Amino acid sequence: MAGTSRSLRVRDGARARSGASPAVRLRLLHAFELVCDGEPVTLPMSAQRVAAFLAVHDRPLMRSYVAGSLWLDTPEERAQASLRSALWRLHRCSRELVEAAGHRLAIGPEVEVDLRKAEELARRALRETGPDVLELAAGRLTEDLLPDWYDDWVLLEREQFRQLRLRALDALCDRLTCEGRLGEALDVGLTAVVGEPLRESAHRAVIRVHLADGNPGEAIRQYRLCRRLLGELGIRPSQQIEDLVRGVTDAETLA
Amino acid sequence: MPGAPERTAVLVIRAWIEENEASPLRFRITSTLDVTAPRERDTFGAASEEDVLQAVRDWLRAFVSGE
Repeated sequence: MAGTSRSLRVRDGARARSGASPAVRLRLLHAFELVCDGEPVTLPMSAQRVAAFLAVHDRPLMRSYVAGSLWLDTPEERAQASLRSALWRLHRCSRELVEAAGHRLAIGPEVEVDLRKAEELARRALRETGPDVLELAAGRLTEDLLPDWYDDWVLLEREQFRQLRLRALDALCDRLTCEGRLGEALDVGLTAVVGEPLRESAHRAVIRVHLADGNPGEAIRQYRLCRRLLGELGIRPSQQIEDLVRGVTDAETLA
Repeated sequence: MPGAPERTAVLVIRAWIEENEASPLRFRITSTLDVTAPRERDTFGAASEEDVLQAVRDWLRAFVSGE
């Protein structure tokens, strides 16, 4: 990599694809995993962090910024040296993994990053109604970004993605319910509930699935679960969720 | 603390607003007293600022005392 200067290609959402599987796949959801030419690659933590950092930002970054962000408490020279060492290891895995041009680094444009695909699907799920979105999105929105990593930069990115995926799951659940695909709707809705049990919108979506399926008992059970979870915090469910089940039974049952 | 082994603890507070007029605040608190032991982490919810502040105090106290 040293001594090679290539201009950074501009990436957009419409990269030309030959139809062949990408040579480099980087998985960041659930756990870090790098696959080069079909073979999993083991990397030291320092190299993993560089690859993940570049992939998460998905734009060219100054070397000094990458070094300073990943080796926060280290003197600049030492941080730069650590970065060079990590980049050397990544380059050994695949020349396509990291793109370097002058002072800037970026994840290679042909690297398939699962986080990027999941984000794209989540955004499409929030704005589109096409059947392909339903098919593709649900299975890819079940995992958090690098859940066992505690680097500061990961925490914020993880929360950003989590919000996006939970909102998308709520939208997918409702859309599947409208289409009568209730089994799938329930799976998606329960995934959203598990993602954050204190989000009432997820409970409401699951209740709507049960009501659409003609299962008022299950709807009431979901409501009671929500009420119990909130009760542990000393609060009651919102009027919205109460109104949803009030049509099913009377106030005495809700009490 | 001189002589104490180096440890890093992390506490993350996620806060959001629910459409619940009576109790709109929600918090999810995830914490660990040692980032090198990712399985030893706690996560719990809260619905008041007082509970969040108490959680932060408890976590700090545990970290400082070396639990």
